[in-house]
Amino acid sequence: MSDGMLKSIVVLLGVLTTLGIYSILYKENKVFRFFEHLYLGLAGGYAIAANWNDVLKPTWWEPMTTDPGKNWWMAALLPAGALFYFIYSKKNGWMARLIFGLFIGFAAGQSFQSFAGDYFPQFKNVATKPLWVEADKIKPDYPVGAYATVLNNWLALAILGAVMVYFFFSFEQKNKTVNKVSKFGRYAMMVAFGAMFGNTIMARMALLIGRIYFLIHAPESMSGH
Amino acid sequence: MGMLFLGLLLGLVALFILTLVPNRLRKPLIAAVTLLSGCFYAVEFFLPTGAVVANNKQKAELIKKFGEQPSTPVAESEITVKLEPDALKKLQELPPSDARLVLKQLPTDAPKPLTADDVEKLTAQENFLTPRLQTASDVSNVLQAFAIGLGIWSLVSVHLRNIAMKRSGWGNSATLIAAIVLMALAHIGKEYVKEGPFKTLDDLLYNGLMKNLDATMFSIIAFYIVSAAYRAFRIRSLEATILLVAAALVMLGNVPIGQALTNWIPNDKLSVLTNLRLENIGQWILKKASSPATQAIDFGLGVGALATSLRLWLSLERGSYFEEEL
Repeated sequence: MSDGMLKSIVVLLGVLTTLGIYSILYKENKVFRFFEHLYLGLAGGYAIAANWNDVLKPTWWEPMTTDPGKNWWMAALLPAGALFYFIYSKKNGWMARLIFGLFIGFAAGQSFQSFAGDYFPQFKNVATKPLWVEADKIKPDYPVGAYATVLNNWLALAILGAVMVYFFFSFEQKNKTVNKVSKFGRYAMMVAFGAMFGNTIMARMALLIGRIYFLIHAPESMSGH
Repeated sequence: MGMLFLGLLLGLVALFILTLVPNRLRKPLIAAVTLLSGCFYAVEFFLPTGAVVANNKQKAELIKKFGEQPSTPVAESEITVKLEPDALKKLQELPPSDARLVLKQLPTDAPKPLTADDVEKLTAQENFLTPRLQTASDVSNVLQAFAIGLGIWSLVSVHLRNIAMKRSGWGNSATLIAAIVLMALAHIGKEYVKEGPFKTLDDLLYNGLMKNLDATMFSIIAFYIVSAAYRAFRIRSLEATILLVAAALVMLGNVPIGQALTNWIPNDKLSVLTNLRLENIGQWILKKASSPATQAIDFGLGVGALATSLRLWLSLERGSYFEEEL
């Protein structure tokens, strides 16, 4: 098969799948069901292949077979991995929990690292922004810029504090001041959710535009222009 | 190869021994495995680290050899190796005693000046467990990869039953299983045989079908999100109004028609009025107003995850899975 012909078939398949999936917008139908199953199958097959190509082959198989003297212990990972499949055994089903326990332990231990490595620096980043105008930051031609930055920093700190107060459930919030701060936190969260939602809508629209663009230009792609 | 069989045999023997564990010891054994596996990362995190020269053992040997250095900053005259300017800067940021130990380690006859990365490698923040993090991560990834069979088997078994019993839509089930087999074969085969039928099949299945199905499935959300937006934006309260206004401003700031609405405002960086253009308001909401709220939520999630992790790690969690008789 020539490269041009292969490319044309690839584009044609792309058009068929796109139209097949979009047929659900009209109503539930057999064409959509077919493509849905096809997608699920392809994704499953791809996951198996990616698992081998990207994880097992480079991390396990190659080190083990190229340097068995040093990495002989890796062979024991096969029976260890087989523990997952004891879930199907009536008699020894409990053994599957050993490997799940291992991963629960790993995840728990890593949560210390992620808390310190991901969350805390982010929090520190907002909480340590300058709350006053540094003289050297004031540009003579645009002094408002420095004041606006500081104003934004005050706002960021206020929002951070207020949202955290909103999520503080350790005791009932009866104090009027705490209530008001918590309410402000709720409004700040609504701004954040609105922004996220707006952003998500825009991202999905961009994908839709991409697909429509693909359909419009498919004939050109097939004819090799 | 003999060594590999030994490793495999040891694993199988361990499996066999596990089948002999009496009922009363099963729960404590699972709890112990969970605790020990978590200990590795937790201990690595809590153990103090220091700027080390290659590793702590080497550092100790160097201190024995040269003695503790006086704590005066490193002078350029002391540096006998060729260094890039950024490497020199990095070196001078280190505590003086560490900087001197690094200098002792650097090869004086290196053909090229040493970079900041070279200095970084010699001064990694680590303790004795840190170098083993990669091995632990590899083991974890390999074991996770073995688990994929659980999901695939669950999917395949349902569809094999559909085919065997000729249920309605069994043709789709056959398509699904054929797709799994063909895609796995093509994508793995292409890894070993770069040209030929595997590559052609992979092109057809991956580029022709899967990539397009993937993009279309995600883009279809656009239609559903519009109806979700309608429900979300029905103004019933002050909170919903704030959500609506924020979302509308972000969206308008991202599209030409929205930007055109405030196009009459001068786009001059030195003018305060520029901030009132819709694209700038949208960006301000995204970056300045919503990011601290998101970070506070993230921080709360982190605290929650930490608390839950501790309960699971110490086997204090209760519920059907944890209290079931084994």
